[in-house]
Amino acid sequence: MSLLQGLFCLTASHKRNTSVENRERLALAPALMDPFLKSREILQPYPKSSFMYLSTCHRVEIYGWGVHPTELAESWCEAARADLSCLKIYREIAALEHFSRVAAGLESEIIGENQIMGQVRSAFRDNMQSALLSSPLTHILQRGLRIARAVRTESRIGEGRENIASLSIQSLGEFFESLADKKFLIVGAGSMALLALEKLRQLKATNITWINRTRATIEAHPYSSFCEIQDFSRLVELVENSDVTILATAATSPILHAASFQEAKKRRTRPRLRVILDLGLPRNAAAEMAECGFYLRNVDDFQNLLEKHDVLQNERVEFAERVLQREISLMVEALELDEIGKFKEEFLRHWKNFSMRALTQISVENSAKLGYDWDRFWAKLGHNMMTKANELGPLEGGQFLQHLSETLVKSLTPDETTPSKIVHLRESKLNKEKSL
Amino acid sequence: MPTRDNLPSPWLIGLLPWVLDLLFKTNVMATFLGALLWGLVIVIYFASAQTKDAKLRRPLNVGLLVLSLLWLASWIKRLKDPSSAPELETQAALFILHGTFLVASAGMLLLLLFAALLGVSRENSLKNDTPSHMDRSAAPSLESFFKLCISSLNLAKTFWLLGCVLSLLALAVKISTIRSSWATEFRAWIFDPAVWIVYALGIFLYIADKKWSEDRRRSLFVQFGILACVALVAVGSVIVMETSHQGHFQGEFLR
Repeated sequence: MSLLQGLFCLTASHKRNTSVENRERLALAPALMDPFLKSREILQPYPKSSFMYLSTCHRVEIYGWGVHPTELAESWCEAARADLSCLKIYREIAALEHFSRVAAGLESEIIGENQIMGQVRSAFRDNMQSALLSSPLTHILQRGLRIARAVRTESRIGEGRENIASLSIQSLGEFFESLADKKFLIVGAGSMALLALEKLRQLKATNITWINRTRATIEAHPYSSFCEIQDFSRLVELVENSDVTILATAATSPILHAASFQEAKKRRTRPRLRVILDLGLPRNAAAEMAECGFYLRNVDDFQNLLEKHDVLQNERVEFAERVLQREISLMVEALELDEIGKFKEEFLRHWKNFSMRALTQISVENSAKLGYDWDRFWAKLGHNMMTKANELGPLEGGQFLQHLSETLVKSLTPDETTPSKIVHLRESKLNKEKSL
Repeated sequence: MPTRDNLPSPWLIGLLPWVLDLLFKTNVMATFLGALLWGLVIVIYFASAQTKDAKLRRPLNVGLLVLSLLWLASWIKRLKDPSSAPELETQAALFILHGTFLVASAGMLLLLLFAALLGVSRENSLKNDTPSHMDRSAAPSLESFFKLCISSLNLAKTFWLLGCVLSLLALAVKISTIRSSWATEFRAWIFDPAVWIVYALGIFLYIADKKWSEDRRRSLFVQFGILACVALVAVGSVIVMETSHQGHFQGEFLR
């Protein structure tokens, strides 16, 4: 259990009713988050610490190991100018369970959605690359990912689930009679934008314009074949002329402001319904856009739709919860066994040295068979002790092996505790006997 | 022209009441109720033919059927009791026509108000705080209410304009028949506050339609609702004035 003792998770998510504004504040840009987590003030007392930062549409989280979570939470809120009450702290096994729930999609707004696993893996990779994530947190989180995979596979909660981009487009049915004749504008080239395009293609929407800051990125994409590609500089004009604008960029500040539409508003002659779906976090459209002739919806606005959607999957979710609990308890057992494993490894090392010393003390010249039998005897004896330790269980078995190891160490001279030394001693004795 | 398989021909909706009235001399279209129902039937017919939202089309078709039956019921009542139908002079026909168009327009404004209220309610249901047990997708789309408002307003505007033009024609015919005291008649007409209100409302409907506020602090549906309320108050005041001319409310606008 000692491995999990240092584990914690700081989370701000929609499930805890943390508003999108607070999540935005806490979602520090990578350029700020990396130095923050690597800052000396935080790490100085904890040199072996390790982190994983995860930011999705509905959550901002830091998984950590070896740091005091409350201190980190205070520093984070201070850096982000957010209220400390936004954050919830999970520790030890609860943190691991939370991570597994997040990765399995049980904490997602669309329970069981398929995107989250990719997002967690991506965060895992990015944090490894930026040297934030290291062992033992890597080891623990990999186990958490294994649990999540088992939960998803067995409960099949991911089957037939929609993603947030797809559901947000479906929800346009509440606004429009038909989507086929509407003008769509997609802004961004990330996964959300691609999912939105895929959904629009399914719905047979024909009037789609696609823009991105780097035009070359979208021009080279296969989806560009059914979209009109335009320059990002025409953003305001295109938004004004579209019925539905889907914003899905990774911009750290809003790209649409009400001030940009003052001139456009004056040119409007007829009332018209215009909808902006903001799928970005931080949000891509400033809140005042809602007062500018647009119906503005952000990721928090799909709650009602999703809750209804989730009711249909209740059975699978209940089963997934059961699988999760089972996997967590298996994981805890495995970690306990890991702990015994450490004692076993230590014991075997000393035992090997001890037996080799015994072998060096008998004359090989007398009988090679005797040496072989003697070797087998020690191996059998070691095996019996291990079996005994296993029978005693994780805790007592560990203590038993630890005690044996200590006794063995006491009986060995400092030189003999290193296998290479023993081998050297043995070989030199053999050579001496041969020369005689 | 809207063509929907499940709807009768627009000519049937527009002309049948007149034909029935003329053939059987029932003059239902000369009553407030008859003209109001006719206006509602016309606007609902067009809205139902234009909407792509099946969730709105169904209640609209039911409404169309109920209102048509109501009109027929009032026609049958008149048919059974011919004494209740007033005798019409030929020169009064234009007055009846202009009155019918104005009251039909009022019926359309009534539908505009109703659609605006539904639109506001739908807008509120789209907000995040709607209880999760409510099925938002079961209600018609916001665009369908929006189109219903637009259709009602446009038809109301057109009918009101026709009513105004017909009132001028009626005046011209009246003046030409009573040549001796035309100046008195004209003075009486020009100083009639009801006439002022009718024309002012026509201008108001046209100006209001051109001056939409895109400031969504006040939603489009609220703006539609306010417009409908103002127009209906004006129509109400015209009816009150007409009633005071007659001395009592007869449910008819013949003078």
